[in-house]
Amino acid sequence: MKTLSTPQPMRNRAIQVLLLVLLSLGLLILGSQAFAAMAPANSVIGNQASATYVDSTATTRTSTSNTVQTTVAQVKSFLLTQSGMKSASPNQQVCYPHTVTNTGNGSDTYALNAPTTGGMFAHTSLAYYLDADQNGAPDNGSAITASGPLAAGAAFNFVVCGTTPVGATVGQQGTIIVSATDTNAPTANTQSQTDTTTIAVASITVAKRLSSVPPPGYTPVPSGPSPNAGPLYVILDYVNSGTVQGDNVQITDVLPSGWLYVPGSGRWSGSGMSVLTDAAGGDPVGITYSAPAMAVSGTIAATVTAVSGSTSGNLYFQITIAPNLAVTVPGNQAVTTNTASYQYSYTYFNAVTMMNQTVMVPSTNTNSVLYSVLPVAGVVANGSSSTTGATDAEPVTVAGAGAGQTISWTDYIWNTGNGVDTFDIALLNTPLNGSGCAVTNNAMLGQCTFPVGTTFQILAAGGMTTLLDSNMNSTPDTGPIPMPSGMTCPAPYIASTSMPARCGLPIVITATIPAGAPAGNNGGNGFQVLVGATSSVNPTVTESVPNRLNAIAAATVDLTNNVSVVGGAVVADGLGPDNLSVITSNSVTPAVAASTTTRFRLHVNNTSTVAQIYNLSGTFVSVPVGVGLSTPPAGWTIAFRDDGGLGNCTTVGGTVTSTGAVPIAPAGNRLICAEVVVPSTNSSAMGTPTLAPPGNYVLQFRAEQQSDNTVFDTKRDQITVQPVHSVTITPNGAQSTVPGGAVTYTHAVTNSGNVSESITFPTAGFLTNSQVPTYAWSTTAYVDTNMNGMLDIGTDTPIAVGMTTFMLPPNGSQTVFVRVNAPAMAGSPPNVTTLTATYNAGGSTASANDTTTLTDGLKLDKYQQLPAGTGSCTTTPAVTLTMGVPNAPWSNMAIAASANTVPGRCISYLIVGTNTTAANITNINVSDLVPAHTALDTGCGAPAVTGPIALTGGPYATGYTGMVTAASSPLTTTPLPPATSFTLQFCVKINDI
Amino acid sequence: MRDETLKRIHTVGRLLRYGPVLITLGMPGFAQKSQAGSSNPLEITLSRSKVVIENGKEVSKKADVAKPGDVIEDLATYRNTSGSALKDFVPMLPVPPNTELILGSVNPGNAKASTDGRTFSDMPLRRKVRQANGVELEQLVPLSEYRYLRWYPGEIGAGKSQGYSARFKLSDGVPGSPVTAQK
Repeated sequence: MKTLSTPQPMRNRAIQVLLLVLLSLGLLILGSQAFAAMAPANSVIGNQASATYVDSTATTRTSTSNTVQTTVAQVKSFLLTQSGMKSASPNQQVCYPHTVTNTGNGSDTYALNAPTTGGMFAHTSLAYYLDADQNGAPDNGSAITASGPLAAGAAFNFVVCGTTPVGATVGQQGTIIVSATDTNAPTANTQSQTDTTTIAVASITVAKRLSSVPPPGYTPVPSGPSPNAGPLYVILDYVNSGTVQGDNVQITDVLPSGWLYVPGSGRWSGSGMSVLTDAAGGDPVGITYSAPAMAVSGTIAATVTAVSGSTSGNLYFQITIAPNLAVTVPGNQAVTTNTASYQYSYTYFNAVTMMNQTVMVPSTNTNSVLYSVLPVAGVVANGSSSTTGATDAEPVTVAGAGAGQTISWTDYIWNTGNGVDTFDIALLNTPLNGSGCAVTNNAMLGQCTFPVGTTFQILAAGGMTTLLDSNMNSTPDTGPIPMPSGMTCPAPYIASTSMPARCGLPIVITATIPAGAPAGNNGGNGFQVLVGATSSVNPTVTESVPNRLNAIAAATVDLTNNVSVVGGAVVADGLGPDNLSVITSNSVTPAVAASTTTRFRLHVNNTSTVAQIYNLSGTFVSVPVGVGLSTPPAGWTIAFRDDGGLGNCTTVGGTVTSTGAVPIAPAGNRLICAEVVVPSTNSSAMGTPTLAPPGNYVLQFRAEQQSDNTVFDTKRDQITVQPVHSVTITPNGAQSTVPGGAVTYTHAVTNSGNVSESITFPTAGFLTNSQVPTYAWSTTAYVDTNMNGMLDIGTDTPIAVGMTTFMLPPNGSQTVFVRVNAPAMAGSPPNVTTLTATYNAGGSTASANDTTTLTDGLKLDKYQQLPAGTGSCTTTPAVTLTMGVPNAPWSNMAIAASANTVPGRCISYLIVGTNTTAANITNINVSDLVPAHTALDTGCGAPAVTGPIALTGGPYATGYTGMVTAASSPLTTTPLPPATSFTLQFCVKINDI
Repeated sequence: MRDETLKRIHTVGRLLRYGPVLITLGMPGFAQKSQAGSSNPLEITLSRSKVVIENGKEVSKKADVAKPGDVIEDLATYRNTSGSALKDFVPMLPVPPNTELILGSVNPGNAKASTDGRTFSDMPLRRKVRQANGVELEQLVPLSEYRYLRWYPGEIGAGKSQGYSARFKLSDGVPGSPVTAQK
């Protein structure tokens, strides 16, 4: 009677396996949580802070910090797998496969400690052997004691072999304990595993191999690409090293997800090249076989009916490696690791029970075979945030930018390889942050066609921080771009939506166009720079994405009047290029004696894309013709001022020559007050043309980009100067004479306006005497025909009513005389003679009054001069009288307005009194008023007298205003003899305005 | 070893949550100033230290070398060197690759975080995940996916300095502190 039983040690082992499975499952669950892999030893962890802000120019800017770096130290750890169970006959060598996996973050070497044995019997001849092909058998006969250097994540495969004793009996179990130790300091880590051998009379062992050729050949395939180049052979060798037949040897091989079965490929050594049918049934005698009917992962199940003692055979089939598998690392080995299991039974005669006994040998795993997927580098650089085609969304294009502007592109670097890879990023043939495109050969290569001086930066996603160099090769890189987990990638990496899913990294490239770059589109080709990504796994793998700018737009500025561009300026305000039309016209009526200011409101509008400063200038385009003005006209000034704060130039600030140190932001503007000073109508010298004749003065204002003087705008404004009619007759005179005497007054008829005047005397009233007809005063006026400044009766032309006329141009002057004859009889009050001239086509008149006083014989004359000829306030003019007349330049004529008659200059006055009688004159009192808007100044002569008079009143210090007086001294006894004179002299300064 | 390290990190986190926040752990010896041009009104200095527990006390060490599981602190000091305030001031500190943010260490604590440098949200970050049955569930984003921190102080005054810091654990292949533990 057959009895099925499972030995107790095997049940315990089964529980251990279950626990291991659960533990593995737990680890898998843990592994599914999102956490970063261990930082690699000697890698560098860098960082760089940044910030965005808005500066005082309302421009958004970004600043970055220095970088900090930390080098990752090595941490050592490893994993030793796996425990094994086998059955064996007495005196049979058994081998158990094991793997050391480096789970630290750097390379390490592992010592294989001498194996020990225990249990119910002792294995002998224990030793370790290399099992690089993972077939569960020694690769050669050389025992090993260490792994040799093992990179982080790498695995080392070996077997431990021992021989069961001759005297071992069926059912006995012996163990082999293997252990490995790393080089961690100061305390090394050791791990161990236990293998268990059970003595059986039918001892079937199944071992697995992966070969590129079918049996009997064998070429191990421990690694390769994904997918592999051709089908691979999975060989399951079985051997019965016992003496009893094994029955119903069931071999079950569950293929991992990375292995795909080749339908119809099953073969069995017991049936030669006969095909094992994948479907149930139809197999050769002695075996049943089932497998997937298509190229998928699945379960291959075979049962060999009987395996006699001391015989062997094999079963094999083909698989392919699935495409797009990630590079094999400790965490994903299960994808390409294959372990089969087998179980069988046997029946033997139990000498103790004297009965046949059937033993069910529980399922035992074969050795595991790992196909390590080797890294295959692949990269795509494109402009797509979701797809990985090499030319997707290329070129990455910016439509336009202005000179001086910084533009950016976002590129995507996709890892299309099968493992983690870091990609160096570089601009092809283009240095960073320096001289811009290396132009040499670029025209041919097309790698960089930006203008010379363009500077580039490679930034991380978001464009705020520099893309760092994570692998310390002095080139910025992406950092390790992982393989996706399903359809997701850990941040900062993104997953593609195109299949197969890939992880990618967005990066940002910026280009700063030089300020002086000319506008254009490079002959329609635009401007381009190639951004290259190069694999660190395989530096020959590289791809690039073109970043393009279609055109560099011309920088522009627009100068408008009164309204800014953003405020709604239209063409009539000067919007757009200068069309040579006058935009704004200011009407100005200039003053006769003072300048006049008029202002234009200019808005300097930055219509470019970069903040700019603009220089300001203004010129005269045209001035009234035929009036002797040059362009620009003398005496006119143009200045630019800040607005005073009211926003309309009614008040102004300081003078400026540009829009200021703070650049005008794009689309911004600044109000500038253009101030034009119009000179007075009589500001130039007498006899020369006025500086402010009437007419239109067209000005052109210009705003010019400070960094590029080819960028500017102009506009035209106009000042219309109105006619000014202004004629004066000066001075008013005051003299004295005796009854029957006569005096002559000299006057200047002066045109201080800005248009020529016809001077006429149209009515008899042009010359009147205030005491006529009561007293017999008579008067005649003359034109100084011979222009000698002296009245030459008989030569100079008497002015006749309605007949006399003469032209006076602006700044022109004509001398006229008024001859006043006193009545023969005394007693007349002072007589005022008024001379009136008509101008402005009869619309205006000018007059002068001469006051003549009858005396008993004391004749008073008043003279004046500018000290030193310049109005000096430190020079006292000398006086020499000849026949009662002072020396030149003392004069009783008016002093023409000039630069010497401005505030701060001085005028000296001289009063000469002459006794025109035959008797002495006593009791003389003489006085003169310091003129309005002046004050006494002693620097050019304190009040002084000559002759028999002395100063009275006073004190006469500098600044004195009022009467300057003198009198005979003593008043009643000191005579002024006949034909003698006295003088009174003083000096005044013209007040400051 | 790993448990001890985690315990240290948690201790640091508690200190930062409940105690006075120190942001002066920078090591001047290995801090460098930004190389920005002289016209740049914002000077940024980033310094780094390694935070360890010695005899029950937190100590700052040089961070030129660290091993997985160690905690480093990055301190960014921003100084406005201009004569006027800088508006819309937004400092940003990336979470370095191969590290994981320690949530309670962010100082000031009102930072927003991002996984992609573009979308910033209050911490802890949450996202909606579509389940196999089509139902969307809101889940906490693992700390290992935090990649950027930003603060929004509004402005930095003329001549003023401001400091922003955070601590990071060097990735050791072990999941970091559960986000929920930081609530």
